[in-house]
Amino acid sequence: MFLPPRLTSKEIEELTDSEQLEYELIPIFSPLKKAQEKAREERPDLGRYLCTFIPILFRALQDPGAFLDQPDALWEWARVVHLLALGGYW
Amino acid sequence: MVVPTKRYQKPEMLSLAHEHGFEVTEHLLKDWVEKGLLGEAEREWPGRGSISWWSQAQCDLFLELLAFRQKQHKPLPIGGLCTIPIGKWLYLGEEAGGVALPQVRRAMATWIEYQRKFSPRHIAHCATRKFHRFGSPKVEGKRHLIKHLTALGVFTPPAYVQRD
Repeated sequence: MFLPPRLTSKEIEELTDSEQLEYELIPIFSPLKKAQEKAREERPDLGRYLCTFIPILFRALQDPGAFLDQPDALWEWARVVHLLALGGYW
Repeated sequence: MVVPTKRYQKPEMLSLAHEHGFEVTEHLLKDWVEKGLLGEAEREWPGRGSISWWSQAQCDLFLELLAFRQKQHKPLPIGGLCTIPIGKWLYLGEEAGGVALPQVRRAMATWIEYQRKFSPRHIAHCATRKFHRFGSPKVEGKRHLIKHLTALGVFTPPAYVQRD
């Protein structure tokens, strides 16, 4: 059976720190616009979208109850944010 | 003029699935409702004697899910099937997609259970694939980020969270 690494609550806070994620993710998924990277210009928001989405996914995995019990309005808002963020990819 | 939509009771849902060549039972239908793959049957009124039925959209969803489960060369697992009703709600909305939020919540719960079973190796592999597909090819720090994302994607049982 797989046993995950033991984490302290401080380590969990660090893992889900959105600023740290932005620092790591945005250069990879939303690099600065350069002439040689024109193709990437169409994806300016993917890094920022992932910074929002990944900590939510992590918290949902660890505590599904708290995630699923969010009010309906928040679910609807998340739906709209998702559509706005990914709308440009279609 | 309001166009009446067709409603399907449980025997109709099952016989329609049989007509399409699928193997279904009442238990499967009940199980899929509990797991959020299908919505709860709607009722005329609460209580005994009420007729319960599914909408045309839910019937179509049922047949679609059965096709993914039984007619594909590599059948999708139940957890993977959850993305279909969730996607209908997400991209089409409740009105057009025919999937309401209570069903989405149940499907998400099933999907989370499914995601919790993945090993760190599998999660690292998925993160790497996403980089190749969407990421910039020239940027450094990918190895560190894959490690970070793998740690985020692995379920840590509460007993494994150390107290500071």
